[in-house]
Amino acid sequence: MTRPYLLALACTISLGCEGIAGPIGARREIAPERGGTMQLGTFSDLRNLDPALAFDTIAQSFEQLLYAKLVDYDHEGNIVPMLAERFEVSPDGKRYSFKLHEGILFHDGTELTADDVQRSIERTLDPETPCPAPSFYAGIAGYTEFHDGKKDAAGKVVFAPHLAGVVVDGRYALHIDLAAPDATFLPAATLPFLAPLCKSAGRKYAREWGNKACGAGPFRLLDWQSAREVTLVRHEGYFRPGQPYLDKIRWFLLMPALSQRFKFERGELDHISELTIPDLVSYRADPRWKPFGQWEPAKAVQGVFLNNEMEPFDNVEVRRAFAAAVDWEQIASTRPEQFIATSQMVPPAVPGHDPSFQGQKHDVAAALEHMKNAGLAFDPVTRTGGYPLPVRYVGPDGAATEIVAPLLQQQLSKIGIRIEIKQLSWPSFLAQTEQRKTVQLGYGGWSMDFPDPSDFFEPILSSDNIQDEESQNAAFFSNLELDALLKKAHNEIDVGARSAMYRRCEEIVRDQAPWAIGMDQRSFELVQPYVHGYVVDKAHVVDVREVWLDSKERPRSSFFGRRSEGMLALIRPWGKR
Amino acid sequence: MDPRALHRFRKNRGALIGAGIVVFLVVFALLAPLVFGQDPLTSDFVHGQSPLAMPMPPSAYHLLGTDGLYRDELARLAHGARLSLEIGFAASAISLVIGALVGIVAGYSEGRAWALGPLRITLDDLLMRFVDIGLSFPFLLLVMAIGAALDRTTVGTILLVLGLTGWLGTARVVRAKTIQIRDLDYILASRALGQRTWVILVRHILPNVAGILIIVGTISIAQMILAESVLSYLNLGVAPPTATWGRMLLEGQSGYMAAPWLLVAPGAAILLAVLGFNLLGEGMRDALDPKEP
Repeated sequence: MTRPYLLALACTISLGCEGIAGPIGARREIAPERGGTMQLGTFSDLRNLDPALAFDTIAQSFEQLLYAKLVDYDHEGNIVPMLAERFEVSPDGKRYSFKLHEGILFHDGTELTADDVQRSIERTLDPETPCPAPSFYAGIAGYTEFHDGKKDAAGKVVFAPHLAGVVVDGRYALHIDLAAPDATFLPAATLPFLAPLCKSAGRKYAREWGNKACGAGPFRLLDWQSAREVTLVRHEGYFRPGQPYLDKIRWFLLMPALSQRFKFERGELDHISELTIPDLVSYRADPRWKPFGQWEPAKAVQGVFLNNEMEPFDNVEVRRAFAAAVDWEQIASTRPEQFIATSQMVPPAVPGHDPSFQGQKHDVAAALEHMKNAGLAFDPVTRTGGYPLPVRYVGPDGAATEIVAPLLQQQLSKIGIRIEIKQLSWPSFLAQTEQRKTVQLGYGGWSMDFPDPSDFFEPILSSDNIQDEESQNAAFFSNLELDALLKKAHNEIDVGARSAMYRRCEEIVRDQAPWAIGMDQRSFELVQPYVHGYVVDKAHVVDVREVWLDSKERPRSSFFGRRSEGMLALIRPWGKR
Repeated sequence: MDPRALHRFRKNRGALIGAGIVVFLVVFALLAPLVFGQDPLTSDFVHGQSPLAMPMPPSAYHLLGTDGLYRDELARLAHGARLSLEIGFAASAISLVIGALVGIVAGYSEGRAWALGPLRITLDDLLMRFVDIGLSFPFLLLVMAIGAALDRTTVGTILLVLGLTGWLGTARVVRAKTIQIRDLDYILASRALGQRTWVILVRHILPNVAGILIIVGTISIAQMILAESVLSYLNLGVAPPTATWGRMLLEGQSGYMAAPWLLVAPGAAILLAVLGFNLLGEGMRDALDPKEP
């Protein structure tokens, strides 16, 4: 039994002996060239490619390739026209006019016109479409009549046949009217929900259409082998001349992180972002990989929600005690650079993030004081007092729970709160946390839908989102001032006034502590040197639309090639010297 | 005990090794937490975390290194050993009691039958068909279902689940042995003299199946330890952060290239425990029941 230990010891002392292979080829300064197949992998599975439904990260990665939208974010985070040649906002902020490029072709060869835009928007917002986030577009004039219906004189609910706010002004022009100025409309319009779809999509949602997926994006769907692989090919009629450069994209589904790593080493994947922790550490420590890796900007916040309707967290002092007892710096130190301790809801990649903001602070003495104020005084020396019953923390399966929960348990035991951990599959986690008076506290996480501060408050903290079932507001936090501020900020166009409002929201969250915050999370992405034009930006996830491959530097066949170190490492876990 | 059995046991090297391993494990489980004094649930951010936030390899502070959350691996191994042995012994005891009861009753109840239309159903049939059904049921599925129904799994529930599902095999073995004994002359004599049935079962049958029970029980401890590890490994066992060998294996596998000791330590412990109890059980079989193959 001693020999493996000695080897392990030797190995870990001389780090970098874990057998990660170096980059394949070299990076040359070359002009974009057409051709080649890019290969990617993910451990997720793809459920549907209909942009009206798909809300998960992996579906969004595919949708940005398949569908073109009216407007999109550029790499600097500005909203720019995409299918629209230009757009204008009226001075009162209520009318958005779009002029489309002429001659844009869908994947099926038909021309994209303003009618298609209108039809696709109405299809997504149709009351029968199971769109997860129609409320993003609730500001469009006539939304209520179209999506929720109105009672007529006889008390029957009648739906308007069309969305009144979306008006076609000729073959290539349309305008969208809002009921009130709405600062989130344009950011929300960059999401795939409003992307124009081929005529085959029709006016009504149908589940099967999601397997065909036809839009005006740079790539079209060639083949989708369920739970295995999706193949996309270049859309020859893409409206941006010369683009895209890649012939084909193969995206492997349900591929474990370790397999991805070995395939990446052998050149069978050209990009990797789902790394296991030891692999991440090894790649970060390896100077050969330094030029080819980058951190994605943090777009997600993690924390702990405290159920404001259940004991003991219905008492604000207990919530404050909890928030002060958690040492996020310590928790984040388990994943340096990947986890970044924060004390505000809005992560750095999102406008509205304020680096100078002072939020909840780790302070055990203050936490004990709050416990005392709550009538639950705890003596850390004799370990008596505190909250007498165990509280149950629920978290989804995976690293977030396995790391965060046991550390929280250790930290909270110092102020007399005993945590029991319950790990659940993702669907049962959602089902339980979204149900009223069911879960006392649990893993809270929110990833950006679009880069706007409203997205980090409205869905998860406004009382509009409290429901008996499927409540997005898992903390069941209801605060009149916050609700009013969020409504006002939603319609505020002035940037300065708007940030001041969200700053006040951050203060409310800090003082009322519906959540203990938290950490920002980001992922590390690597590409092989022959991959050019891959940009990691704030608004997109694994975006390969502008990528080209250097065919000279890329090995033709990698199977019997030089990439055998990876396999050797599999057989000998301690790697080679 | 029969001195010849003891002699046979002493001559059997495998049995002695098995006994040695078992004694070592018991001593380790009982004394290691006292000797090394580390808490299995406390993260050590000072000596247990490497500069790259990886677990530390074996060192003077942590003799077997630390795990992914910088907790002492040796302390976790020792607490895991306690838990494994507790579950192994207790679950075997439960399954042994139920198995012996069902086996003896089924084996002794010859001939007594209920007429069900044209069918004659004996108590033996009834019990053994139940055992057959139970044995054909996928064990993991059953445990998962029970776990889901119970909502929270603790040491107690795991123990009950394993005990209540583990007696089926024991019942079969005991029944076979009981059938062998029940037709022997001294049992017949007892019955002819009008001895009550339960006295015959307790005074004559039970002592004669005791040897088999000890053997089956010892081997089933090994199986219970393995089953508990499997459950923990599949995340169906005792809830975290409690240290169990199977869970340690699960937590260690993602980083095995950088921290192989996290896989080797619990893996070796499971191997050793199962090997030890199996060797011991087989040695006892050779010693106590030499006619059996």
